[in-house]
Amino acid sequence: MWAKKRIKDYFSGTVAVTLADDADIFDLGLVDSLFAVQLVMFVENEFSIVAEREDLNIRNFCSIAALTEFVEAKLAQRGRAGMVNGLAAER
Amino acid sequence: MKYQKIGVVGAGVMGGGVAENLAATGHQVIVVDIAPEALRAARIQIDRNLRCMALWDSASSAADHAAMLGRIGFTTDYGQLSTVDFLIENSTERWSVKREIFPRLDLICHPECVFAANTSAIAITRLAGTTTRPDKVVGMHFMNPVPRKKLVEVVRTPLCSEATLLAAKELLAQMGKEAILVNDMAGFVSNRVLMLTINEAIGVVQDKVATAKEVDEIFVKCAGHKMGPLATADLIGLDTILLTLNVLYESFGHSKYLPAGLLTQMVDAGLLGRKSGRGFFEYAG
Repeated sequence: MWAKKRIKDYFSGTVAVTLADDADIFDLGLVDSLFAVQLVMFVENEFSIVAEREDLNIRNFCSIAALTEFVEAKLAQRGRAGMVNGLAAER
Repeated sequence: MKYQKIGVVGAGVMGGGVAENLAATGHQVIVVDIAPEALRAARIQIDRNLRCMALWDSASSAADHAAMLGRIGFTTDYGQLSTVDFLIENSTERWSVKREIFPRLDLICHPECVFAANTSAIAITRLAGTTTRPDKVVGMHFMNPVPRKKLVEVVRTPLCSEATLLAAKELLAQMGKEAILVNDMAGFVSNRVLMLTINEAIGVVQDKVATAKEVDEIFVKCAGHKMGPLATADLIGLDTILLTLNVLYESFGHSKYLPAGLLTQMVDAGLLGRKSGRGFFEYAG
């Protein structure tokens, strides 16, 4: 929920209209490609994740709902990796 | 391709976009700027943009991206422009800056090299007059973001030769773009009209008639524009808007081009739009 709030706040500050969570900002023509690049940078900086080559699909970035799902999956992945590394370190 | 090696003067938002577009379409590019930090920032931005090309083009690989970036040289040395086939100038929208650059390029570049001025409003004829090759000077008004905007306003001066116009169209075709040919006068078509709209939209916010978000929402939802005038201003850069309005005011002497007080204040405060992270709206990254 925390990730979703940050993403919603970001969209609210940058897209000039109020958005439904599942509204496709690219289909609606509300934003341009520069915004997509900024969105990738925002997500990487805000959540300390790296969008890998296979993550760079417009479907992951096209709506508040899609981006939240993507970020939460990346955070969960990082959490699992952290636990594995932590266990390895304890040994 | 007829034109292989292209010189790009100015590593700001527009110069960087032109260089990225050229490299992505297979050209060798030399980007020159007097400021090393501008060159470094342009390289970082181009690297990001090329990486994010995968968002739209699933076939583009990391190797393609590296090869594209590898085709761009970044330098503070104007001398490296002596071998370019075509030159695109993108310096700051100030006559005092451009009038120094063109005679300098004239001495360095090959006599057959065409000079394209990517300027927001300064009359191309005036720039052509600072060189010994006025027949080879043409306007190329690119839109931002350059790699994704398919149409370029090409500006013909009374001195510009047909061969130069053909060369401009050919290079643009190589870049995957189309040209729309207009005659030279300050602001051409796009900015003579657009700057007034943006200035008036800023005036509306200044007079507290509506907020920036409301102004833009009216244009997006009522007029069907893809982007409102204030988001457009943020995209162009408020400093560039101010400089362009000043050029239009000086050129036509009409008070309708006088910049809104709020615009000047925002530029003074460093609120330049997307490039500074905040203008009428906020941006991250």
